[in-house]
Amino acid sequence: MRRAIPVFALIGILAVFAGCKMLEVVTEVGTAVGVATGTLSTSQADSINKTTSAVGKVFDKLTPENEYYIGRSVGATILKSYKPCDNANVNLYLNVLGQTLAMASDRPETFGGYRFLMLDTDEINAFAAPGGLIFVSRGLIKCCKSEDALASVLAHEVGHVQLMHGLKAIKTSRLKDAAVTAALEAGKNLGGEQLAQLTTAFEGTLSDITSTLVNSGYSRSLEIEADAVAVTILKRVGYNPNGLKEMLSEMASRLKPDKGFGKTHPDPKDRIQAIESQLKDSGEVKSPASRQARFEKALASF
Amino acid sequence: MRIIIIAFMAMVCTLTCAIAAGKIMSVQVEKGDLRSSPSALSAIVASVKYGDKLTIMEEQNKCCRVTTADGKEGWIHSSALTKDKIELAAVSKDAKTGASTGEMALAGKGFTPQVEAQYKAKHADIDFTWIDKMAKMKVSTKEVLDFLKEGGITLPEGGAK
Repeated sequence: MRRAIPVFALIGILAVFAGCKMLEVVTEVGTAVGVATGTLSTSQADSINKTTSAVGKVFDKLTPENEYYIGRSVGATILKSYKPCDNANVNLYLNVLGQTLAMASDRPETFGGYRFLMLDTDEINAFAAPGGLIFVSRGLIKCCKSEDALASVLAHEVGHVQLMHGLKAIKTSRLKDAAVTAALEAGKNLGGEQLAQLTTAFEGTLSDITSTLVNSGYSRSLEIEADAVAVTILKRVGYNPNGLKEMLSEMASRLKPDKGFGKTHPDPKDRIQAIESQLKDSGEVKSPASRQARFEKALASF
Repeated sequence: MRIIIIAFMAMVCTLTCAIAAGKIMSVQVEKGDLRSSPSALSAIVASVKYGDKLTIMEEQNKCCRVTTADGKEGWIHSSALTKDKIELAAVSKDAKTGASTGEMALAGKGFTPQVEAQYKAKHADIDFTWIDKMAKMKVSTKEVLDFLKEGGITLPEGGAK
């Protein structure tokens, strides 16, 4: 089993880099290597391939345009529970910072682009809707002592979009129905029954995603993946990736385990431990005066 | 084991990384920019839109040098492109009938403006005002460059692609 771990890890890492449509190909090659080297049994390999195939087929049916329209409605649903912050200066600051970070991700282009909005709540929370609509609470922004730390929050959410974690929350059965498949493939001005079937599938898809984002949260492994992407993005742009550690440490002291982020995210101390090896060459966060000044100015405005 | 892993990596790279020169790909984002070099911060030389077909000339670090049907040339990130054919249809935003009267949008298959409109009609309590406002929160290349300069941020080698 110990020898099998590198093969599983390799499949995971390569799947991330390859993207969802190549997930099945990558996994099949990976499991073939695993069987050939004796690290996986044939039945283990078959099981992994079947699971991956089911996940892959859900993704195969959705284009970036579909992802965008799912994300818009997921965002609108989130804003039913959380009031948006109508502060043009803060939202401009978040968008310039966030879109700068998104440019350095492995997925800088989504159908409608990345957009950022502050939520008017002291609850510590953030949500990334599929396609790039990202919501960050005032409470979470207040956990940041520097722009580098705030950049780590936004880069983590960009990571969820890049890795399409929202779409992974869609139940595999949701889009497999033959009538839904036919409606998804129709590509014309739909009417009547087909439009109704597709809208029902759309509602179910939104329910799967918003329920995961708001109630249950992503798995620990997906959160750790998004943290790893965040560190990569921070390094590419030129921010100190220790901003993430700085923010997580502050969050650990403020977080209530049964509410908001505390309910839907792993323990911040656990997350710090997982990224520690990526931070060993980075020193303490020391922002230039001009960067710190604009960060404090943005925070002072709400 | 090490040799197998290296061979595995090479195989996967062959499967996933290379986009062959001369290949036609489609734009899969609503609007995209062609740039003067393989960097998201270089000058915009032309714009492309959803469904446009581009010819790939070369690929560097996930950026493709492409030419448009009318001969314009520039660089665009590969995440804006798909090998799949995108056939767009004019779809009605009329939620109730789906009839081709009223406001129209060019859309592909599946969850499109038409489905969103139908969803809105069924869920009048869900407000899209701020989602539409967010769509307008665009940031220009100049704003990003000024932001980086003001914050004393120097892109490391291979930074923004």
